[in-house]
Amino acid sequence: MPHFDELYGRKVTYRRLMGLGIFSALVLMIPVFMRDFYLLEVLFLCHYYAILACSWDLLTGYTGNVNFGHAFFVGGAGFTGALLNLHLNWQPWITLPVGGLVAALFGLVVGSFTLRLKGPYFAGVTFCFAALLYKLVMGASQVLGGEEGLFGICGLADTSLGNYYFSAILMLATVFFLYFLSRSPFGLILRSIGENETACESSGINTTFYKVTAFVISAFFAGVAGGMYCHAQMHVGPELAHDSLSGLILMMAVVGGMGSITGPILGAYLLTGLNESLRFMGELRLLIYSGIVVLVVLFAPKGLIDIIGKAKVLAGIRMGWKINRHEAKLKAYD
Amino acid sequence: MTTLLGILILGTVWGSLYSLIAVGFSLIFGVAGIINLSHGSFYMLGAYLAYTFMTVLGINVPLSALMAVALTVLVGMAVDRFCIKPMRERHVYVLIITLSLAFFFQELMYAFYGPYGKAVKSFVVGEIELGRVEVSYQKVLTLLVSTVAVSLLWLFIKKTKTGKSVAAVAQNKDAAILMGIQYERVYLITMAISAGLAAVAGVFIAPVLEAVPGMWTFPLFKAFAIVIIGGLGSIEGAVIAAMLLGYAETAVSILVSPNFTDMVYLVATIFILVVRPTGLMSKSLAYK
Repeated sequence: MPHFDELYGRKVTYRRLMGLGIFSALVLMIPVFMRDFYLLEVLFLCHYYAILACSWDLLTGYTGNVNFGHAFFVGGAGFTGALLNLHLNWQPWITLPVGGLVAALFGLVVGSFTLRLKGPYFAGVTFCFAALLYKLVMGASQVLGGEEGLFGICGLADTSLGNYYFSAILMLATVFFLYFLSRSPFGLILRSIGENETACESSGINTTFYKVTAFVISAFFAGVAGGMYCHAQMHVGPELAHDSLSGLILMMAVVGGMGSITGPILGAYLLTGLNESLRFMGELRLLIYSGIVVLVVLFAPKGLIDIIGKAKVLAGIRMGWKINRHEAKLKAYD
Repeated sequence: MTTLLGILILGTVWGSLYSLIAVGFSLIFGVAGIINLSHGSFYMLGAYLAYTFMTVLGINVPLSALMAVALTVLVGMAVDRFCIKPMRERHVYVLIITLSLAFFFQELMYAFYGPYGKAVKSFVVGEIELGRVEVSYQKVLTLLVSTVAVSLLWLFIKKTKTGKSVAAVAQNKDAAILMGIQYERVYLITMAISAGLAAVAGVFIAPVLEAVPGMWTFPLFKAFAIVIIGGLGSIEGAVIAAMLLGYAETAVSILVSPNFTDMVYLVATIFILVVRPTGLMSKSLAYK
């Protein structure tokens, strides 16, 4: 049973801040050394998917309620922002938060009705909402652009470099927030809901409230990411609400490691990088990609973060460090 | 009048097709307690294998159909044994692995056959006219085959010893174990049946719709909707709900617009889950 200090104490918090700090420094410093535009564009995508995967993980990784329709929030906010921009000429610094809030509102409405349901039902209903949005977009071609989507949205920053930094800062802000949220008492409650919801409820915790809150927060960040993507591409299309996006986010989070905000970041970087590096394979690209995902899920169901954690423990034992079981188990929280 | 007759006939055809897919899905959920997201892939494999055997290799129709279904059943059993079995404890992992497998199969078909639809010739050519509504023989054949298949399944479950063991595991797995039933074998059999039914649906619908790599998503989620509406674990409920969906979709398609057909099951799912989560004929609770 972890001691309070081990979960929230000063030493742990410093260690976490250090970890995140190093990561932030790396992310922010990359363009100083590498100015290749293609790389910056790819990393932009990595950041985008990282935000999506982390926000998805907050609900599903912790409470175990699989959300099959994350694209609902991404697309919903993306289209809202696009419409606000096209018709009312609102700029990105407004449309992004508004998009996020709209997505959060969607999350509130959908979540309060559906989070009472058991796992598979919740999964199905989230898919249905996303699919409905997709059908709506395809159907209402006049307003929402149909298959081609809407063009002419104002851009995010004027250069690839600007886009990169914008996405990097947004991603780091999201990650910091979600990381510390998940390591807080709130996150602990979410995790216990995932482990055994009945026991949690008998402790007097209103699990629905926590689940809905997690869903709303998850939706907010997904929405902001969606808005960011739309402005950067200066185009919004139905693919932002398509189930393949939901599936992709899910796979990134799973490959990286659900239930830890750091896992999905790893998954996002890894899978986006994999996608790009396999381009030379042409038609076989997605086959190999999905094959790798299947293999990872089969052999490392807890994700690569878990494998890395286990490797660290093993390496530590080899090197004679004193790793007691207690600390190794604690890794699960960090 | 003709419209109503058309809706009834076409709705029955589509409903019977959906019931083939949904019954397998419901069976696997009722027995093994898992949502098999690669169920749609079995349907897709059935269609593509039918195309391969019939059009590419030119093998005659009955043999091709048999081989396509048999191969898909083998794939289904392999999926169960190697991919799902290690993950059975945590349902989340089953969802994820089956979803990843579904994507993998989609990309496999894409790699082999490309993104364009593959057409298969109708098994029987010609149309029959029922009161001024023209229905192709293929569709009638589909209706016949699905009715026979579902009836055979029902007989299997109710009358044969193996079928009863399947029902037993669905009712109470621990009690079934105490009765000496090997549940892993039952899971395998259930998956085989489930995959087989889906493959039959795929094979028979291949001449009607084209075979595209993405064809697994909508049958899967429609099956999900049907099973939710009809109640998880209930075969009768699945059949009834499937027919209902068939009629509803056909009615919407004819009366309103074909664009809205795919929204019927979405709206129905959401509505049912918000209003009556236990479904129409369910044996289990959707609430906690």
